[in-house]
Amino acid sequence: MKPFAYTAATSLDQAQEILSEEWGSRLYAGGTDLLTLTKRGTVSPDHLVDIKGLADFRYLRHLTGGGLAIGALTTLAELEANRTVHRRFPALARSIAVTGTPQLRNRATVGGNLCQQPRCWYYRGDFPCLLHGDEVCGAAKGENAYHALFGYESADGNRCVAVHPSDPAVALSALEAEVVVAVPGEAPVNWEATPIDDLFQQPTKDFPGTTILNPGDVVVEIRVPEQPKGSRQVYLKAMDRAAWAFALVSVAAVATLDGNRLADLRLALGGVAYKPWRARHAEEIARGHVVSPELVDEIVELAAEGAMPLGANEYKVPLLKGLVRQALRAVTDESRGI
Amino acid sequence: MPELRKTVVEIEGRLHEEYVVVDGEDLPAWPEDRVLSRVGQPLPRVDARAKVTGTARFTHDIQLPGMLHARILRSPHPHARLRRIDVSGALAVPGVLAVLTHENVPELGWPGRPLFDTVLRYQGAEVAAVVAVDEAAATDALDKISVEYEPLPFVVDLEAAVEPDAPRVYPEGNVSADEASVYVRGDTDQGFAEADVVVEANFRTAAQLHNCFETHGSVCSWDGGRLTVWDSTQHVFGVRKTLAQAFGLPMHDVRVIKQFMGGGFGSKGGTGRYTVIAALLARQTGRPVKLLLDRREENLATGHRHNTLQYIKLGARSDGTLTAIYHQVFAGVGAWGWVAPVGGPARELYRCPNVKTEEYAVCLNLGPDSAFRAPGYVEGTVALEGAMDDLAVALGMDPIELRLRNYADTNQPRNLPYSGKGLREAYRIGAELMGWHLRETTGYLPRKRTILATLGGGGNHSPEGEQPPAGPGGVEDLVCWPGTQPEDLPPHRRRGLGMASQIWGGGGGPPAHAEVRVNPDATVTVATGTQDIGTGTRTVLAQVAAEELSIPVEHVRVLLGDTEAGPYGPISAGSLTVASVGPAVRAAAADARRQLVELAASLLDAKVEELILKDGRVEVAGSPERGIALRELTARLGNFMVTGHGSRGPNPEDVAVHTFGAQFAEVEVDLETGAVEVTRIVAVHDSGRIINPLTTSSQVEGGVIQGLGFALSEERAVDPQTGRVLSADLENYRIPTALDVPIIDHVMVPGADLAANNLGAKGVGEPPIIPTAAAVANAVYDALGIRPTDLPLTRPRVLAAIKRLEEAAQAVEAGAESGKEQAGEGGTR
Amino acid sequence: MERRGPGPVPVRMTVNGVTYELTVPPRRTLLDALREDLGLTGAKRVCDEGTCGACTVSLDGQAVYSCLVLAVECEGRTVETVEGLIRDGELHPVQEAFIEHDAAQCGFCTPGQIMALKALLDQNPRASLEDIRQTVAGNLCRCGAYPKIIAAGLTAAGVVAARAAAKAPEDGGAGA
Ligand SMILES: Cc1cc2nc3c(=O)[nH]c(=O)nc-3n(C[C@H](O)[C@H](O)[C@H](O)COP(=O)(O)OP(=O)(O)OC[C@H]3O[C@@H](n4cnc5c(N)ncnc54)[C@H](O)[C@@H]3O)c2cc1C
Ligand code: FES
Ligand code: FES
Repeated sequence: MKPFAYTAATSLDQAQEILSEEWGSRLYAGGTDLLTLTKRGTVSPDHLVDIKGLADFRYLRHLTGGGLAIGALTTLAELEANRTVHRRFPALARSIAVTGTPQLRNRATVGGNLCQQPRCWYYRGDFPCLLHGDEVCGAAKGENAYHALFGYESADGNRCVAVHPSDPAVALSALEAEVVVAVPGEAPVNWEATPIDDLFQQPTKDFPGTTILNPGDVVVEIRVPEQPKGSRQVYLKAMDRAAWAFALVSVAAVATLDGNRLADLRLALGGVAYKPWRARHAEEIARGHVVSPELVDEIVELAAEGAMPLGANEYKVPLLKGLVRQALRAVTDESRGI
Repeated sequence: MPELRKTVVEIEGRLHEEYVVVDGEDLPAWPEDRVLSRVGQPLPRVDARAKVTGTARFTHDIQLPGMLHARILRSPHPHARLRRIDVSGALAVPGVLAVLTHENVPELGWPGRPLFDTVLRYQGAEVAAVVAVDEAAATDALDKISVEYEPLPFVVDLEAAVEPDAPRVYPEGNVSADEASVYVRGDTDQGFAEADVVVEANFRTAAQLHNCFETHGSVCSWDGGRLTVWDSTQHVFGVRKTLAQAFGLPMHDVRVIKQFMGGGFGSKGGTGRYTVIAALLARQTGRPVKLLLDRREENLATGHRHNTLQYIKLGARSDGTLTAIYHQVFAGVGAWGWVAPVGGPARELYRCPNVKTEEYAVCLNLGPDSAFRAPGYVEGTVALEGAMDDLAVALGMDPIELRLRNYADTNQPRNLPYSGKGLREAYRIGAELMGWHLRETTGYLPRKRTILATLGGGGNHSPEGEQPPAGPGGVEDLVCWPGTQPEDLPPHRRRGLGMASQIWGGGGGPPAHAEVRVNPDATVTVATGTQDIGTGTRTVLAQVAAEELSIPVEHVRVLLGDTEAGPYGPISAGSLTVASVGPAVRAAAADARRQLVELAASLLDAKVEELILKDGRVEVAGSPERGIALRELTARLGNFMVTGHGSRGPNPEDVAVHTFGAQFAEVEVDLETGAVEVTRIVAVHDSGRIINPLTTSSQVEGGVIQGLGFALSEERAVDPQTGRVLSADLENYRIPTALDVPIIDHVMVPGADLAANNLGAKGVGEPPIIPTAAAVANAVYDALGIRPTDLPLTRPRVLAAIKRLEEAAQAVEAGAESGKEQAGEGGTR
Repeated sequence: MERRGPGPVPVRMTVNGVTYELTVPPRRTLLDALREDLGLTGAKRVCDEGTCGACTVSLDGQAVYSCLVLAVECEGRTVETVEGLIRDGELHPVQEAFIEHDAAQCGFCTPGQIMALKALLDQNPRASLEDIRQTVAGNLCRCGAYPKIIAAGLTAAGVVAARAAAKAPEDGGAGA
């Protein structure tokens, strides 16, 4: 690790001021991602601005209308232990329970989890990578078993094919959560809530971050809306081993059933794109239809629609279909389980 | 009179001849029915307290006054020529004392390759070393060394490297036929001609990285002309010898210490280049130097289990009797290294008159390989036992029945009977514990399966040596329809049972020496130059000494891991420690006992032959009143130590000493997601007399778990474009977590191997890892009806197998629809 | 708070009941500060990036990977390492259970395993088998001592639960 200065911020304003004005400064929350990147020299901040002490952004609050507001500095462990999260947002609870390990969840903040950098082994190692400023993406033609199926547009090496590593983001996407971003200089009343899917961007050479945030922008809150009555949720994650691994593919499903008719279905896929990938076409087809083996087959096929395997990640297509099938089984058939 | 004798010792599957000084008769082994009260007890480790309180001092934990820290700059390229190196930037970093490169490294008597070469043949090859006041400064300085490399063409893929026009690691080429290990018994051509059934298969296994938790490293300190080294090593005496040679020192001026070690698994058997570098820097600066590798260096440069490409072919008569075995192995050894005996199981496990094995080392621009827990046998067992299951399917025979049909009572390569072989018993116990019979009654696998289709497999890979007879297009894979599945399973899950056998050495041998010192308070110090690498050696040796001296284990302290603590002990490898050092300790304890009894005889005015030593007393047999407590006896001698000496006797000449075992696996495969879940492992091993069942069970579980990693998730990944390793960390190299571990039931086949040595004990360190992957792969075969040939069984491989299965099923359905009769007799569905 | 560093800065923290004032640069991790500056070498450095668990210590009562904590962050905070578990020569029940079950092979992962389980039992004296498994899942063991680590965790949980039960009525009485 290169030497750096450290500031334990005492206010959000102070933090934002440094972050927006000082080149080389970097927002530091739980540090579980930033320190690993810094140790490898993937990023070399000169100044860490620690916002962990800002107790004002560490809370769980019920929203009027039934949703939940989560302060961005809430740790994953705190969320995991929360009963409301378990009862009302089991997909989120599950996605957190399979994120890293207890020790990581004790430190990791939910804001940091959304803003973490890709786990791509080209990016985090001494390999060609657009995000290092190199001309090509090493993974596009290399060992891309863990890389994207969707959204990267072109595999010519000019586009980053890394996937967003977050599990909670996938559940939050299926729950149609929003994030509130504090922009430097803006009064809190002007902070806007944006749909979580819009927080993410495909990292590029010039903007190697996974989010659209500018220096000084801080995610301050995540809002999870109340889900329709009787909705059922599941989060399934396929890994290379039973724990402590990033998703090969994951699926968050939120279904609302009216008898045996699917009134609403939301399907978000993890491990397949630079952001949680909503299977919108599959969701549309499902809406309003009676659950049948044919419908399930159709949803499964549509979930993988447009998949562009890179080579070594070919297997993600059947894997994704299999997980979607199991997720559908879990949310539509109480008696069967996964 | 001492006499010099030659004896055969097996280490890591290879035979060596050793001279051994024999003085008098070795003790006979404790007979089978002897009631032993210390040996055989499940005692907690004598050093457990140090480990749980954090006071156990590992090499990483050594801190000396004035100690400096060194780091190594390593080649980022898989193959490059070093053109120019400028270290001035590094020397300017505050706190840096010196930088070593090929330009200024002093001449040494070091027998290894140059410490810093100018042709760098793997990513991770040493380029320079920096020593500084702290680790941070040394690390900062590495970045300031400017190096000009001329990148050279490289090859990192095993299949590519055997091609004649592949880039060459050395000008001579990547595969050396001269150094191939070829074994022939009988005539395989004739054997295959006699066969009614022939099966053949290709297998691939991945490079497994040790990932010892304590990385390789040393602390070196000079005191005048003497060198003291704390080293994370499996062989303190080996390191002493090499360092004495490297620095031109008398051996007694080198001391090597290793009290605790965070894992070695075979990778810490030699003398590290980092050790020599640290010693050089310590000499140069006049201060102690600590040099620890980090996780990435560990995974790039300290060894691995070589990856393999294997072709195997079995011929058998219709009753299952093997007529021929042919096994060809290409092993990716890296920039240099050795081919472990991958063909070992094929040569030894089954009775077969016609056997040929060929083992080729293939050089790659990757770090050199090293031994890894049962090197070769783990990989070779996957192929042999996989092919045996193929044969069982082809013959419609139960896999165990087939193995029993070919049971070998003799070691065929050496033409010697086995000293003891509990494999039959292991099959029986294991089958019973696993419920093997369920394979038939619940239809796990019908005895005879319908062969649905044959699909073309990958091409063979044989640039020289025998061409596999399948010819271009390669081996065909059988795809079978598995039987009806148990009713408790959802339709998208398949359950399977599989098993595999284990053969390995583990008989140990000389040289190994020990000293047993009886203190004035009758406590005992055992001193021997072996080491405890986490296997429980301290504890087991204490039990042996306590048994022989009939004293409580708590009264024994074992000094080891220090070349100055005790006489020579061998490398802790090849599962040989208990069977080599244990008998020496027993002999030394017996020598001490003899002296104690003699001293007591004069005190008690009794004849030596009348006296027995029991429960801390020497007394006249039959008249306990004529006795003396050991403690009283030693106290009478004043501040004097009775010292017993002992050494390991030669190995028996008329028998071959081996360990055996069988493991059974139950798996569930998810057809929708390709997940392979191992739900249960049953491990039954025969290692002779068990000195400590508790530490033995730890070895068995640990071996099985490492075997599961090899089977399911552990794989070194290399970027084909840059030739650099992608998985040199613990994130992308996936060792099992606690949640990956199934139920592991294990049993040791009862009985001592009385011919093996004076303990009747054999090694248990390596055997348990040998059959695990093969058993799991066979269970997956049972579950899916298609043989997995590439390990580890990650999602891409399993999902590809499932796809082929579906294609085969579709082909059959299509055939059935068009009215053709398909899929012969006996198939259940 | 002021900007500190990048050079060495003073940090006060309490480790195993003793308050220390260290002088460390902000880039120094808690793990390195414990091992190098305080000579507390129980916590081990295996990966240095949150992928092994051998560096686990307790920070204000929570198990954390000390390789992913900066020493400067620990200003005014309380750290406990494996060296701090012995009370009056008596081992913690987790330590006792590790000895009894042979839960340490090479012993390198052991301090981290023990600190993780100890933190669990501190927070939840009635931890279940599943709680224990999930906890051990945050600490790798290359020797594969897992079955015995889990067994030790269960034994220790039993002891801790029994002690908690024995203490509860007493406390209740005192409070009433
Ligand atoms: C070994 C390992 C395994 C892991 N496994 C998983 C897993 O299975 N699933 C999973 O989802 N994650 C996993 N993670 C990632 C982990 O969850 C994240 O590192 C963590 O959530 C990040 O939170 P943090 O508070 O520590 O962020 P930090 O490391 O402090 O910050 C991460 C990044 O986000 C920025 N940032 C932080 N907070 C904010 C904010 N409020 N607003 C704007 N920017 C911000 C920082 O500047 C930095 O760039 C794993 C991590 C490790 C090391
Ligand atoms: S050293 Fe901290 S988790 Fe590995
Ligand atoms: S006991 Fe060796 S790593 Fe766990």
